[in-house]
Amino acid sequence: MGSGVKSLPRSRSKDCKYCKTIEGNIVQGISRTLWEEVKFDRSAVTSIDWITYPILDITEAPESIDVVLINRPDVAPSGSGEPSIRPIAAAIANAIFDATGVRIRRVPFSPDRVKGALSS
Amino acid sequence: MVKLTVNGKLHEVDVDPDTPLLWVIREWIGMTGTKYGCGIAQCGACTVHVDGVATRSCSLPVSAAAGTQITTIEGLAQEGKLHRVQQAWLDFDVPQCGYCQSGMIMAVAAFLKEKPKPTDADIDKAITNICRCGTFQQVRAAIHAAASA
Repeated sequence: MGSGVKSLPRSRSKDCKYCKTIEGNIVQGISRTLWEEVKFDRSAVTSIDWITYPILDITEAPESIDVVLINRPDVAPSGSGEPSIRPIAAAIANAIFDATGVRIRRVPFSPDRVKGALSS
Repeated sequence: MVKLTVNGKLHEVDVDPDTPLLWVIREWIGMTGTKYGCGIAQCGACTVHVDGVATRSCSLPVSAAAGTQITTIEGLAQEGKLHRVQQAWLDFDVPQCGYCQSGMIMAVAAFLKEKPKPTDADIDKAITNICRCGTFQQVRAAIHAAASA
């Protein structure tokens, strides 16, 4: 308690309701980082179904997501499930930078965008 | 008139034979557990069992379902006892908004009959239902639990 930060025992997802919202937001965050983009041409939106607007499916959902909740009773409540989506794009962008030295600054990090950034 | 057996009960419905089974189940028979997600068999929210086979009912004309045994989510529990997939779904608190989950449960129930002890790779290949809430981690965990039940 002295440090002000107390790490809760690693919550087993089976019992942790918070974890499920966080998992869902991580999945959607990855989806928006890697895939999601409304496409359009001169006359209409062309993203009209799940083929033309792909989202993350089970095959690309992480094998496991470990959620550790840190108890901060001294801090005012501010949200936990939905805000989890915010750092995802940055985390993936940083991972790409760490692996390749390349910064991609526009989502989604589609294969074309990544390829273009790597070759420029 | 089209004769349909749904959850063991015979129904006679006066519909155009091209009507998708989904609408007959929801509008004519009045069972709304099966959901409309896309209408083009891409999302799986409309999954029912036709003679035990997981089928996307939004894209099956009702005439093709005549004479078959149709099971909807309402008919999965038998004699008041939850199907093991439903029980696992409760134990693992899988649904978030819940909209895709009827279809997900129906797809999984049929899948486990074909693959009683699936690996994660088997699951990824077979369960193509879309879940926008991203419940996939819990879906996998619940499938493994149901497989061991």
